[in-house]
Amino acid sequence: MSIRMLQMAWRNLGRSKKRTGLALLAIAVGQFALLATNGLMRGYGDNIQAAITGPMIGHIQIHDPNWREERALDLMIEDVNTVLASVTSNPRVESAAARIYCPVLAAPQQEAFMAVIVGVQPKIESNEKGMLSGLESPLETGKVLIGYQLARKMQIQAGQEIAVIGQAVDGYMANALFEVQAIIRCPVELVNLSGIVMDLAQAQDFLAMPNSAHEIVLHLNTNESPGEVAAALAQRPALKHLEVLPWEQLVPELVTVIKSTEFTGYFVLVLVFVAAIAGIANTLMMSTFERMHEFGMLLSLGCRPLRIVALIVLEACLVAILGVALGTLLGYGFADMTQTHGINMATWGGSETSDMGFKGLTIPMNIFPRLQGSDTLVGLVAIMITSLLASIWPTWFAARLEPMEALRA
Amino acid sequence: MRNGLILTVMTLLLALSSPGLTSEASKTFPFDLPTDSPFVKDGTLDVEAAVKYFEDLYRSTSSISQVVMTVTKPRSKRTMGMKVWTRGQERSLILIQSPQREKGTATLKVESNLWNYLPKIKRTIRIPPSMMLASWMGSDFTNDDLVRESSFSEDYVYRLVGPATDPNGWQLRFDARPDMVGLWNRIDLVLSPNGTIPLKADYYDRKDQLSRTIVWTDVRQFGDKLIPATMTLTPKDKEGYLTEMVYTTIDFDVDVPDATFSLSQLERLR
Repeated sequence: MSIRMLQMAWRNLGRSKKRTGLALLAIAVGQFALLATNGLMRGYGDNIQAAITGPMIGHIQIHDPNWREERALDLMIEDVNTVLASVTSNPRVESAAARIYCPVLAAPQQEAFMAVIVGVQPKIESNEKGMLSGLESPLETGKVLIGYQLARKMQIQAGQEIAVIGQAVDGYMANALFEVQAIIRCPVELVNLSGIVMDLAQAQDFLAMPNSAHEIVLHLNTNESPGEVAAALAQRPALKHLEVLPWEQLVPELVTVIKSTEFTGYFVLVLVFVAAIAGIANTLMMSTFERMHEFGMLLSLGCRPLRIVALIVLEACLVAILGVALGTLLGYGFADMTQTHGINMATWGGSETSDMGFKGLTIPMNIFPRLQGSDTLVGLVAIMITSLLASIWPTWFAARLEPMEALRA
Repeated sequence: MRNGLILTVMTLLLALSSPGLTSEASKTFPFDLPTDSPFVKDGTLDVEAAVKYFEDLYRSTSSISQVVMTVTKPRSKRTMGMKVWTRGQERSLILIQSPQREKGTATLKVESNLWNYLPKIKRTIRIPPSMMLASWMGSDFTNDDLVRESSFSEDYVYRLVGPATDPNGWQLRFDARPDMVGLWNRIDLVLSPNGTIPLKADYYDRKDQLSRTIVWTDVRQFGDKLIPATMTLTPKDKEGYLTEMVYTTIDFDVDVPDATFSLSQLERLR
């Protein structure tokens, strides 16, 4: 392929600017749609993964083997301090937080409401990935934090006293009065909806379960594999009788959701194929039929049919590359523009809240599209293939042209 | 809302039983059951009369009883002593007397409302409707079991199935009426051969799965009636769980003033 051929192809595209422009636009819109969808879905997947590996589930969880199924109060991690010490001695573990969960009744006055005690280690949970990140003042002993939705239901405010009634591990009734330190809004749906958050030691005392907890949530250092670390930790003597699971096994259904977000782009890709094939085929057909006389002339001057075929293919490829370039530019422009504030998908659906609750997780619906180089490449390859496919008919037609017949056309 | 949980409620509030005099458990029939058969005629059970008797057996104007409840769980077991006051089927008051840790805790039932008094924090809490199916005092009984006042003949369509073999007696089947809102779809009740003593009840949930079984044993003389003093509830879906209630004394038709069943009285009880 010579420079001359390229120049000819370029000039030919310019002969009908509107037609070329339309084909170009069709491809650009297709490529933009592909990039935007992939970017949004990847951003959404990022949100889900961040929500999972955030405060609620973390990278790894440790429980009594029957806890997840039964959630019975007495299925505890006993001697939790030893377990915590063993776990945090692993350099791959960034933080480990022990938690207690217990359904209770909470009553500001005579009316009681269903709630859940969440016993936490305030110092660890105040970290960026903790349940209490962003809490203004540290949780004080003897006081509790109340999830905002529960607080709204109970109509209570900070400073008020609530009675908490439950059943201790030994089966006896546990009841005590606590002062509400603050009303909180946190990324854990359970806490917002029904959480009475108290210090772990306080919860241990209230529920008669000294040095025990129901769950340990681990966060790992960046780029550590939860599966590998979980397997390594499970071998430790202190964790011998416990279940150590990475998040992928704790919420397999969400893993499927994340995977599905990766594939959504391919559906768009198919649509792009169809749109591009129609646009390019139309353009090429028109320009081929229009130039019958010209092709006849070329052939009679000794030009080989293959050269004409190459010219048509080259024109198709040029349109494809230009269209993809334009679409990619638009796609990256879109991603760049939305990097600061994201796109709030919830408001598009007319919802008031900007988050979505799923399996007890709060998944932000404000999405920051994230593009990968492979997105552009996939679009380019797909459209190139489409263009070549679309040029089969015109080229087949041009290759079979008889010079005399073509000149008469 | 009416429901056949009457079996549970009635036995729990056994003191509602027939008119009679104050009585200690005076006679125990571990295996012997009454032999007089007022409801068995021509070799079959007069089911209408037996069910009516069964319902009326536990009705009384008022009662005071002492009950010992033992809750067994896979990894623990505990026993509570309690005193129960009742008036009709609408009002009852249960005061925990032992162990020391829970002494003074009280439950008041007035119609379909339930309150708990907690002496440690000196607070009275009304149990919300959403907690009705939750455990009462950590037992296998639910708050709902305490609240439901009901009548078998109103909530259920019942019929005599025939003679029962496990245990020996008469097999009765109660099917929930279509408009009845409740937990149970069906209850299979076995009455003693003479038709006066409940022996066993299987409770089937709305999916028609056996959910729990209540067995009555230890038939004793309370006043002028023979009543099973021990009731054992076994949930079928929770292995290793069991709640047993033993009635040690029941005083029927004693003077229990209305004021007993008030919130102010609840807080004064200790």
